Amino acid sequence: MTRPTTTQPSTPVAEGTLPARPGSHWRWAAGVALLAAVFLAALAAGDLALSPSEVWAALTGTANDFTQTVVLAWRLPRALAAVAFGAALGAAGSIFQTLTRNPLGSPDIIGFNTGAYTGVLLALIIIPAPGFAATATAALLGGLAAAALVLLFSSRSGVGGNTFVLAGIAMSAALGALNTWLVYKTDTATATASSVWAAGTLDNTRWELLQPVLGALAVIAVATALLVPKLRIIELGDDLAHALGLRVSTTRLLLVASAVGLTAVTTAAAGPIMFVALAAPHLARATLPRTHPTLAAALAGALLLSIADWLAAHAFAPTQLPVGAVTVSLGGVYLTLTILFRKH
Amino acid sequence: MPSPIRRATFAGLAALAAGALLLTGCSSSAAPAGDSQSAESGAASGAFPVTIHNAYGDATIDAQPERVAALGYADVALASALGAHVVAAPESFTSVAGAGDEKNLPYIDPLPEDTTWLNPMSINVEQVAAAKPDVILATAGFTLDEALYAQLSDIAPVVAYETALYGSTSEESALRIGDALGKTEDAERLITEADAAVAAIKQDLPGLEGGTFLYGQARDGVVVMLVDEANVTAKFMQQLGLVALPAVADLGGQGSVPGAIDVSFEQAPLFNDAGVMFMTFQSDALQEKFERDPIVSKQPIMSERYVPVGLEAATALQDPNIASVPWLLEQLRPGLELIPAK
Repeated sequence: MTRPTTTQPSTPVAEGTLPARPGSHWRWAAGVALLAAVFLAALAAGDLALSPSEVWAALTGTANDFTQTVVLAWRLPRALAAVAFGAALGAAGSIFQTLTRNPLGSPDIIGFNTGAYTGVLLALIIIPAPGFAATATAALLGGLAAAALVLLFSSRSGVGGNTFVLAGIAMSAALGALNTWLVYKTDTATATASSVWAAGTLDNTRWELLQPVLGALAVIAVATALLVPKLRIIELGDDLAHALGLRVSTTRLLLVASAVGLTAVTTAAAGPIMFVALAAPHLARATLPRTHPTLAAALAGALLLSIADWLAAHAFAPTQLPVGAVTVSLGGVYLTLTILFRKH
Repeated sequence: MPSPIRRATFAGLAALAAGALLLTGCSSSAAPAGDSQSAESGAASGAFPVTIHNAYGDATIDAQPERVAALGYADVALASALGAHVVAAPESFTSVAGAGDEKNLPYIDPLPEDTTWLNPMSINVEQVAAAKPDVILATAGFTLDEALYAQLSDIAPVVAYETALYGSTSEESALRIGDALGKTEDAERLITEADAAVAAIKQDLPGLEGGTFLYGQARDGVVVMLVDEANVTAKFMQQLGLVALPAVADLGGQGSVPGAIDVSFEQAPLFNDAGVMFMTFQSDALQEKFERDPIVSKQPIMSERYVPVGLEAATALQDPNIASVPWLLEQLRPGLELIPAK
């Protein structure tokens, strides 16, 4: 695969808005086609064997009730969740990596997920058998609180510097220790329930739970899309961005808020799905045109999570894996290969 | 993506569950249950439709079920003992934990080859659906939650617990399943048989009445010891006339699981007064560590009245269902015989 060459001598993540290379559109088309194929495969595959024609009949509303239930009520929301959550995580990762100018700057490592886990653990300890709404709210509050603290600690030097990443790592470590202690102190039923959440999963995704989540993601996605062009200006450097009339600090904070929002909603709904935010921007750079890095990362994230969830459900069927375990494995293999074969 | 699977089956989780295995019996929520549905279905066997009130909603069974899916161990044991046609069943904990290949529980007639085996740690809803059950028994489904219940209900009526997992007595659960399968009278017969087995062993072993026991899981340096009297495991022991050794039960303090306390190996001398000490382990290594501990190994009870309990017996003891009682008593009998008469 030929890589589009860039003349920018900057960090690996800092990319400018490059003019579209003639003939690179097929990469977008291929990416979207692959995503559609994985999506359809997700609707077709399962322990309940359905023929492609039965799946089609279910989608067009002419199948029997039971086939309709399996395809439309069970498989479709899960497949959609994988696409939407993967895209959200991929976009969030791209924003974080660009802002921090650090290829490791992802919401995974700045304390968001550990904070969300703290929230869920506290909820499980306080509320007996909390429902989806309570767990999701707790994850949201915990994650946002951790992110707010990290921002506060790094407020002097700003999001752009290493302080932000370091504060995030420190926060992750501190909350990680707190979580370990909470799991250790609590009873086994709570520990089991929380470990299930912490694995990250799309099992049992249902429309009634998914609809508000997709709605929230759509709102944040629109806001993010409006902000992303300014991200390209910030990439050029603060001085230049100032000179171009951008209110750098405010814009940066809004971008962080939108990336945290995308991660927060996804994590609240599905648990911490690690590595997608970290790996998707790298995958996008290697395979997709660099004209729209955030969009490319979203597409790569959607693909990554869809494939990972398909593997989680079917690779070892009937044994099921949590999708979080698969994303970590896939992402880990990908990054290791990237490092091994990197051109110096 | 499709198969709406239940949760994770990793080793870590399985280990956690193994930890949970003994002693998880939910202590606090022993609320009265079971009365309402037996009243509603009428006393006669086979009165349909039957409405079952579950913790997550009501389910109505219109006609006597012919194909039964069971998600929990008590569910498959009772369905099998009641002569139902079980089409999907949870594989034994021995199989889940990778400690053996036998998927059937030791105390039920082996199920046919074409049974759909479910992983109770991670219920795969499409697997259940593919077995085409017309009722799903989940009174002891320990990974059941609201979302899973909703998906299972898309397949067939679900018979879950009424208030909480392990929140009902084994008699209530047996009658609940008996009602759902249209076999109330058979369920009553099973209860009578279990009672008879208990009465017989009490007659054989007079030391049981008023005797003391310890039941725990030895972990690294501590024994998680059962103390709560409301626990279903403890209730089973009480039926035999046994009480948890007061010297340990009254220690107080917090346990790693509800209804239990953590007792350090250093306090092992306290164990000596017990009539019998049953112990389970998450692994052979932990068993060896316990038995070779310099303090524990010096205690007289270790050579006189200490009995390790295997994985399947521990699983059965966690939620002693009516159908398992005769087998369970046989398993525990060598230990129960050691209890000195007063």
